[in-house]
Amino acid sequence: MNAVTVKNLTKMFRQGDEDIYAVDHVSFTVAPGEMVAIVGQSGSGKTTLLNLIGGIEHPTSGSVEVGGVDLGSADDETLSGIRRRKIGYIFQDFNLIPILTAEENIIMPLLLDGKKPDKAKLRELAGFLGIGNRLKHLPGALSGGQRQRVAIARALINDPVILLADEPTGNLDKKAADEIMELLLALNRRGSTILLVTHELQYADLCGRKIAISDGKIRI
Amino acid sequence: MDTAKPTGHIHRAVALRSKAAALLPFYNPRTGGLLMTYLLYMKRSFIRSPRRHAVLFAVLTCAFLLPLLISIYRDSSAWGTRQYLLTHSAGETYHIGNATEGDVPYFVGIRGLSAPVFRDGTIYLRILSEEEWRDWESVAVFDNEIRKRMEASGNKALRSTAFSYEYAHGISTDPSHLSQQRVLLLVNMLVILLSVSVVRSAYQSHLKQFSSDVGTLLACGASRRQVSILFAAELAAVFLVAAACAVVISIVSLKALFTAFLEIRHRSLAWLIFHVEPTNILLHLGVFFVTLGVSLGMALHRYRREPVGALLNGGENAQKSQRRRKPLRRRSTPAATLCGLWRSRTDRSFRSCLAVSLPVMVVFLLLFHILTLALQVTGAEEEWGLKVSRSSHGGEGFSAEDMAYVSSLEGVERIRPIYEPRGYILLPESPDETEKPLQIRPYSSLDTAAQTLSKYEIATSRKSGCHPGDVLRLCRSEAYYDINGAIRQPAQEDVTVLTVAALADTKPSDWALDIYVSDELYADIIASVPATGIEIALLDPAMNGQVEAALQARFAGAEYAITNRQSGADFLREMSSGVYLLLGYIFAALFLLILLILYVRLWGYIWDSRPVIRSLHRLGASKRTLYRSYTRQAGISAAIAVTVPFLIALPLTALLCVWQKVPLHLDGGMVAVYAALAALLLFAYWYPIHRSLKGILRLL
Repeated sequence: MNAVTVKNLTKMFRQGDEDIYAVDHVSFTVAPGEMVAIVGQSGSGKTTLLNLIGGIEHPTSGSVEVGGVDLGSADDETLSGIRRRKIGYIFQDFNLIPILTAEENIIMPLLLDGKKPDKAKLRELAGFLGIGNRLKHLPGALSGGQRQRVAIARALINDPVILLADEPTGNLDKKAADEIMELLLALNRRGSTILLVTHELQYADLCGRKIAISDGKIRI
Repeated sequence: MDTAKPTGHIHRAVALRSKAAALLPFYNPRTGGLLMTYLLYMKRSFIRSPRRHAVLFAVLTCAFLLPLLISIYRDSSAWGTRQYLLTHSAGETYHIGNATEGDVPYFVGIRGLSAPVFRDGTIYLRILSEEEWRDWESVAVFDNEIRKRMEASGNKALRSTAFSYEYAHGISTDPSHLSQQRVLLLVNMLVILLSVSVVRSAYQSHLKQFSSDVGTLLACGASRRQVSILFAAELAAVFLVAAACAVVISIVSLKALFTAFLEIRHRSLAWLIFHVEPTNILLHLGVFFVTLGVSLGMALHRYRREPVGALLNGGENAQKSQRRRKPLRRRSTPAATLCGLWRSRTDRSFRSCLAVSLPVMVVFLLLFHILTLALQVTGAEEEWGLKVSRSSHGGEGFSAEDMAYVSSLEGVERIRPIYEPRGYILLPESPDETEKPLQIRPYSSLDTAAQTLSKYEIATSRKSGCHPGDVLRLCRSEAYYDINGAIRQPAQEDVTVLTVAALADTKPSDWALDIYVSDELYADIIASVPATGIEIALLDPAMNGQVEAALQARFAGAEYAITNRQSGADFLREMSSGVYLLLGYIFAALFLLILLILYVRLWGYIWDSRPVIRSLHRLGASKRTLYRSYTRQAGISAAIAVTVPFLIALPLTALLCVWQKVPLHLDGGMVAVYAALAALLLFAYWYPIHRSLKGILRLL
């Protein structure tokens, strides 16, 4: 079973009298353990595609299956459950909750699922990501690289079927971006399935497979 | 490649400059100087942040309004009483009624009194020296002189009425009026305190919202003095507008209510005339201005100590907030967990809403209870609905025939004669002392009469200075003074020796010693004096008008006075609808303002929480979970807003009831008012959250 199956996925926006296709009949699959890069220019539809796969946006047509579950027929409650349990999302702007410490940010998906946080797993994850000594800090007191590591830890805490990373290095300087990319590769080597959206080709080249997208369509 | 991209510092500087340019259109980046134009800054500030200023304005107006309304009501009550006293006394000491022009010469040339003025059948005289007027001994001398002149005139119809210095100067000594004034002053001060706390909290919160702007201005080179002047100018502008609005609203609305319902003249002993005391208004505004000034001073002092960087980040001190943070706990449901998170980390908006709604509700409930209690006490059915009294000068009173006439009137259930034994004194212990005037009452009339007195035992007020076992000598004044007013030794048989056997918790009168004699002795005393009053219990309180008319027909002379207590009580009951309407109006105005403040604050709270809501939704929090977490937070605050005012106001009312010795009144109407208030408050807290959340969640 594929980690992700995307079939004929389309997302259309209406702007005045004009129909804009942000994602235009896209189909592909991601096998478990694979690391796939989606590359393209700004405005090509990469983030929209990732949001559709993550269940954050609803497709106009087509289907998305994550871990064998069709997202198209799911209501908000079910979709939220899928996001909590099967998907780990890493955002370009980190999306950390400013009123929570790093530790609390990481365990939030577990709390939203009504689960008791596993402290040992949290420590192991924080140690692996190099933020073990920053867990009690608020996001405001962390550097960009540390914030993104916290975001990665949060995405991994629920053992997701797939890790969706939307430009995870976009807001970081070169050194921090390289370190985050190293981490993602290391996670992939440990067995995580990763779908990476990036416009930086040097990082896309490090992935096992590349999907180029332009004007919402996949270009071979 | 690195050089092509601006560094973080350059980014920051560019952002600051553009923000400053937006804040300050008079900022000139080319010269690098700041041409401060405070009015221009204020204009820009008001246009850029109308909501913030509108909220502050609404809170200040609301906070100023309530104390002003109570103050004006208090001023009106005091003014009405003053006008009542002045109208009745005409500012003169003596009114000699039933007079003719021919009687005037008899009152000319009394040393210490003004020349007589004849007007509408009455001769007016005034004691010229204020000291003499205040001294009861001097007044007694003038009383004697007036009586002699009246006798000399030969006009038997002349009736003299004397007014005390206080009465003639409009100074009320009526205990019930003074007590009402004290209660109103107390409520007023309480309301001022609460309003001050609301004003302080609202202004601090308002200033906090501008801390980032302060940081930007300081970062761009504005001096701290310039920033202080900016905020002082803004405070002055908002304060003046809010104060003007509050004063105008309170005066106009109360004037309208007084005209429609509340104004009382001529019909009642308690006059209520609309009156505004400018000094009190200025005093109120002064208190609020000082409060705001102190708040501003404290905030500016904090800004002085805070590094510019911290101000740019919204003035939050990271270390401080880290110390205060409570750990995030998992609760029964994800919504409960999130609600706990909001309550521990983002509850400030709700706390500020509570700071506004709680004081207003507490004060409203207290006023509502006090009013209900006052109406219960003053508007109750009178046991003795009517009283007819006769001036006892000259030893005249009501005859047995008068009593029989009153008893036979239709609508009269029963009567009781009232005696005021006068002309008794206590003999001084030594020749150096003077005799004491007395008020003699039966011991059985005391509510707290606890023991039986033998015939010559008496009770006195605990505060009178007498002690159990003290011996007092009672004597009629004519046995002590001879016909020329000289003192003489009374005969043994004219003196009654009394022993103080009990002390009573009564308030002693200022001018005489109150003694409570045994019923047996009292019967002996009143046997020789006529009844000076008849109290009448009515079969039906509605018949008071009819009985009063019959009494007026029989007792028409100037020496008679008829008091219709029942009509006073009925009038108070009628007036209660006006007072309730006034209270309802005040509350409706305030509640509308509260609703506005709550709506803006809570809507702003949810609006500012959008990033967190979006993040959590992306992490897997369903819309329902998010909705429930916030409505749960609103529900907890609403529950506090509903219950705390009752928990404060009800015990205070119960204490008031104990003090006033009346039962705690609670009927269906009051419960309905409570239920309506609770529903309104729940709605006020729930609706802004519901409305704003629905809008935001729909977009997710």
